[in-house]
Amino acid sequence: MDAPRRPPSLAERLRGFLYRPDEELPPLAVLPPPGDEARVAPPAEEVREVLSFGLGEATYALPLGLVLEILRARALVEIPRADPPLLGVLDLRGTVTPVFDLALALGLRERSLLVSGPPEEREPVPREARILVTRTATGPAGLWVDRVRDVVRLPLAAIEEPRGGPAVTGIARRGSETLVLIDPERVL
Amino acid sequence: METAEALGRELARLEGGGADGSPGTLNAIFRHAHSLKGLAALYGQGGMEALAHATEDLLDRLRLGRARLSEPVVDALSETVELLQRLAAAAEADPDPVLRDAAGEQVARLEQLASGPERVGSDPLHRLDLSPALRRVLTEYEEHRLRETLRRRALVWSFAVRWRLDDFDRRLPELVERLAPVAEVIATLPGHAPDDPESICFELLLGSAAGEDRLRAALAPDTGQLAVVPARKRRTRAELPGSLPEGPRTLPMETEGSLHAAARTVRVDIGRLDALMNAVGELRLIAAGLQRLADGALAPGVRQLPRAFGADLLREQRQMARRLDALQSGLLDARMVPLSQVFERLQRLVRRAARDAGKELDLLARGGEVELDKLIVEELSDPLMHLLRNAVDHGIEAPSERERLGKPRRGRLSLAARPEGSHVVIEVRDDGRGIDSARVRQVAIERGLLSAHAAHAVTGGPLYRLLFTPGFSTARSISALSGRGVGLDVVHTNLARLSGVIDVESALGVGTAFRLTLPLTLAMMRGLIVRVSGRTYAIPLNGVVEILALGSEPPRVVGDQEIIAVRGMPLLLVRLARLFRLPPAEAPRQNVVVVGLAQERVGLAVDELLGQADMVTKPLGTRLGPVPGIAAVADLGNRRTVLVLDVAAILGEALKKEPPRAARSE
Repeated sequence: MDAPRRPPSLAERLRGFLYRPDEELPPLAVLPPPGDEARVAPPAEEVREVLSFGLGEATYALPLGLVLEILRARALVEIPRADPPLLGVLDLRGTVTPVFDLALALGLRERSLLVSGPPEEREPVPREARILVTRTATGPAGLWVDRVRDVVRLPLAAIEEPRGGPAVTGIARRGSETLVLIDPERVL
Repeated sequence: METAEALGRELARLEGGGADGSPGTLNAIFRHAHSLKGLAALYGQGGMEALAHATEDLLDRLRLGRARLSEPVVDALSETVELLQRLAAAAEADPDPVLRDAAGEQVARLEQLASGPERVGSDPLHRLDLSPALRRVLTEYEEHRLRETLRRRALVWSFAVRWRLDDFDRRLPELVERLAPVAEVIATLPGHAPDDPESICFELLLGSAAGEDRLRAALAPDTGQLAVVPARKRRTRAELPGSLPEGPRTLPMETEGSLHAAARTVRVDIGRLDALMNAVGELRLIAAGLQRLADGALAPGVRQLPRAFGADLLREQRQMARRLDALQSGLLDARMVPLSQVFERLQRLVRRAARDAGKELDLLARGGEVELDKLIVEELSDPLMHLLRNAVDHGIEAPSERERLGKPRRGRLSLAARPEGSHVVIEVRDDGRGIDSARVRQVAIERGLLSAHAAHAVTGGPLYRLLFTPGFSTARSISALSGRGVGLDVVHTNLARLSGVIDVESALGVGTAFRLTLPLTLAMMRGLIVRVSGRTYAIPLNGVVEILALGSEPPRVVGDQEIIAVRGMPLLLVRLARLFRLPPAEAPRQNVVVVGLAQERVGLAVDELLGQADMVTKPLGTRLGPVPGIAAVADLGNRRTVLVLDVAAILGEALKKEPPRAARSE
């Protein structure tokens, strides 16, 4: 399997051999000065891309840029003595990710879902339910939603002033439908 | 930051090695100072660069023998390293003006030390009969070593040797090693061109105080021309070198590995290792999936697939699992670092603390080569620092007091690590005044931790455990170093985070020993898998003391707590189902897992024991924050994720309600 090892050339061996302490000091690695990463200014945006999803009868949306991943909802690992709206955690490729009941957090539901713990104590996971893994300041957080609708490009002008709770960042209309834009950071 | 630390490490060796620094150590220090200067310049840290430059300057003079290595020099260097580390730590933020001024002062001090009087006298090198051609190719360092050899009245020898081309690069290090007890290889120079194209010639300059016979014996089996490089005698001295009146003194040898050895280590961000570890975890799941497929294909009654397919699949799966094992253990190894990383930092600190406190002591560090998970080693420096400072400030008595007590004037402080199974035990021991039990009881009563009645019943371990209570301090004077009784509290918290255990042993007037028992790694752990109300949990096996079946006799109920008797001793029983507010299960027969940390024990009642498992643990993550009673999440394979119990937290929670300890206002 291994490629035959090439013996080091005479020059290489001599270099190591004739090494003397003060001939040479280690060359310094050339590192880029800190804080010099290429910074691309975001172009002035006219539209905003949001992911819309359903909670009960209503339609909500959050900035698409915050969504890391959409998972088919599944039973979670129960956290003992967890306070609602925490539903449990899931192991997302090695990162332990908490999942929250978004409907409960927004006050749309009274009772938390039972989706963690032993099978006999769980309610079945609805076929359409999804977990939106979102980026937050303190690491990824999962939001349990009833169903995912689609990605909507909203003209900035179509977004109205927020009303209805601190987590709401704006209201937008699309045809007969009302989209409630939320900030996941503020919900939790 | 790490370069500064490496610099400090070498410096500690210098301090340990007396005032006569070996050339290897000095060279190593010089190299670190040089790289530090370059790095500082690269990042535009002006103050740091100037300081590193001054350090390099001073070291260069020491190295070349132009300045003498004295106590003030070592002290100044040692303080410089600390200053450099602080500068490095502050590099992110705005440079603190106080720090900047301190750096400026230190530069002036180093410059003054470096400009000290040079050694005078005629250059002894002129007395040496070396050809001008040879003299020209010698580096300044080699010249210095030659001078040093003459100064010690040893002889300089020349050894012309011919080696075969295919093994010469192995022969030289072997020769250097063989010569080490009797001679120093000062220079390796290319020799005359050989007539044989298969060989290569070298001329070595050796410094040796040993006689020719011993030298020849050490040179064998390498043969060549050995000759003394004649040195003209100094007129005032009659005796010849070679027969030294000083006795069999050997020259300091360069045993230090060269730069090439240093390049064999690679620094890896622990986050990257974690990512690899996770990749292994994912692969494991795939392996488990493959196995399931293979099992399915091999099952009797399966028609669609040839059975050979199942067998092939299974074989592949086993291959993959084996490789995964190797990969996983390799990754775990990569996380291991020697304890010396933190020991050396501590030695410097103790030295300074002792000076500031006016104590005289020797610190013995042993077991620095013992390796532990990088994360554990890093977290250990704080607790160990507190224990050592405590020993210096409160343990070891002032020199005069020690003499009055008939003890040796210099105190002994030891820091020793040794592996013990899957654990490492680190002991901090002093021969100071020991813990005054009466004083501990008195403070405990004053602070309302114990009733006077209860206090007198407590002795030994449980009594010493009070020292780890937040805010507890028995020192009559609060020293600037040890702070205000926060030390031992920090030790306890940090250790619990590392699933470590601390034991105290003390005898009044004789000394105190703190023993820390730590797991080798946090990433991999052996756990006892238990079932409670249909849920599965893992209990770290290092916290498990014993396992009992809950007898038919009902537990005694005291207040809202249950107590069982184990071999006549009362044991607090914690029903996990109740603690975690789980629906009760109708388990026919409960088991009790006795868990313990230090002197504390409680029994955890569980429904069922499922066995033991090696687990790769993962932290709960920053978003969730700490969850009471849960330390981590672990993967049991086949997509089963379990929670790992936090034994220390559960103990703490259970014992907080314990009746004998009077309720504190919280």
